[in-house]
Amino acid sequence: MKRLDQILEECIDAGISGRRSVEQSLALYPAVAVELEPLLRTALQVSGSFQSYSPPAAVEQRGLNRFLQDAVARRKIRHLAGTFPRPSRFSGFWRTPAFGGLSAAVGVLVIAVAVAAGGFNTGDGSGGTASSQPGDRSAPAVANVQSQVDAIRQRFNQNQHVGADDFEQLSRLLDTLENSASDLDANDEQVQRALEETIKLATEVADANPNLAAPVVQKVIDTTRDIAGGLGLILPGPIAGATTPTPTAPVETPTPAPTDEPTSEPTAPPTEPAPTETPAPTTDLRQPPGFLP
Amino acid sequence: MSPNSEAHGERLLVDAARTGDERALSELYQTYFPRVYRYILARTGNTYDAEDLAEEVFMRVLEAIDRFQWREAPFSAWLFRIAHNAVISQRRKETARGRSSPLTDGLPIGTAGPEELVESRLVLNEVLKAAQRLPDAQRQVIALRFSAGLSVAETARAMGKGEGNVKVIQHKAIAKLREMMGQPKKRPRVVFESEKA
Repeated sequence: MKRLDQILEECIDAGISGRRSVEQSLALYPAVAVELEPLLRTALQVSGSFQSYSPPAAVEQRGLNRFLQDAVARRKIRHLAGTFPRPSRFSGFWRTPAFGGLSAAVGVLVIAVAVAAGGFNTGDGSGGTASSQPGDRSAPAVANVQSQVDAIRQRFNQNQHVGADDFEQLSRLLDTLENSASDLDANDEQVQRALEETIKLATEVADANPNLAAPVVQKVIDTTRDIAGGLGLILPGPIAGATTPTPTAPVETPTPAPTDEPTSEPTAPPTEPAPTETPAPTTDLRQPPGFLP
Repeated sequence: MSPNSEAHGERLLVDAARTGDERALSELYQTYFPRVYRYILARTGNTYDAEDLAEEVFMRVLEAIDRFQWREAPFSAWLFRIAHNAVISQRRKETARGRSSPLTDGLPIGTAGPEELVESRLVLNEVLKAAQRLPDAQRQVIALRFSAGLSVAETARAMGKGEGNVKVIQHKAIAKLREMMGQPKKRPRVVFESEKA
């Protein structure tokens, strides 16, 4: 026997698609018609009111122009950059100083060629997102995060003291990074590495020291996932049996520090039902489906 | 068009957009922009945020579309995850700045259109206000199902929840909306200026 929520959904779907009227749906389910009718009418009213509203045409057109200009600029950059070997082919090499020099030279060359080709003219003088190199302004923020992660990682691996203050500092650096997220380049391996290593470190520390998991480590995890999600990157989920040895060194158990902002999106209140059919995935729900790392 | 051929058509469109095909990009944008806009409007209750964030979402789509891979998740679920993240990110920034976007006073209600349109605009203003008082998961389901027009299956994918769970949340959300908005009823007829004369 169907539950009311299932019947309601079936009738909403039939109503929105125009397959059945409210009266026909009620006739199909006479046993629950009294409860069903007001819910169904409300749902269809809500749906109808949203669907009758369209964004202002000028807003849509302005967005479309910007979208297409950005797409063209990106394609040009990709085309030009495609003449050079992708950094990812130099696994391991890209972290060396020699690669730093080479990539800088390549970057300068790409910009020079693109400018010569007039590829960055967005036409309306509005300064499209491709008018500056993505990542330029956010590079120090990425480096700061990476540096803090490396410092914590080193101490964690050597079983030295790791405390909430380390993660508070990391959290602040991540906030700064998030504020410059619009400048981040999702294809930048430094960005990817920083985010991946942050999430891995925070998850490992949280696994090894449950007392440290709340709330500042959780905030680090949430912010990192938000940044990654905004870039369309998928990050590793909670690590079971992390590859890094679990440290045995004592770790400070912090008093939960009050935070100015929510550590994660507000979750459903306790009255919210637990998943009834499909259990919630154990990995972070913010991972956009359909992505490969 | 059957759901399968619709999905196939969307796949061709998205794949073409990934190669930079301008027509495909344009079509993708025109298909989804109004839905993303309405979704953000339902989440934030603010038309200014809806305008800015909807544009931003499509910029993020451009950045990320190369990495999108067809698995079991439809494109819409992926897109609305990006929209969701944009809303959350905006909320965080506002919290950090110690301010929050006010709910728009109300969407403009033109009296030039048909009476039904005016009435549905009044209802929408009421829905937007009521939706802001729903728990987040319920608000998200309402936004995805009714303003973005996703199916339950797509909503479940976008939220990372089971379909059964989404139906339960939807049921509760509608019951609460009904409670807040009162019985759906015919509203007082809007009197047009031309009729007053």
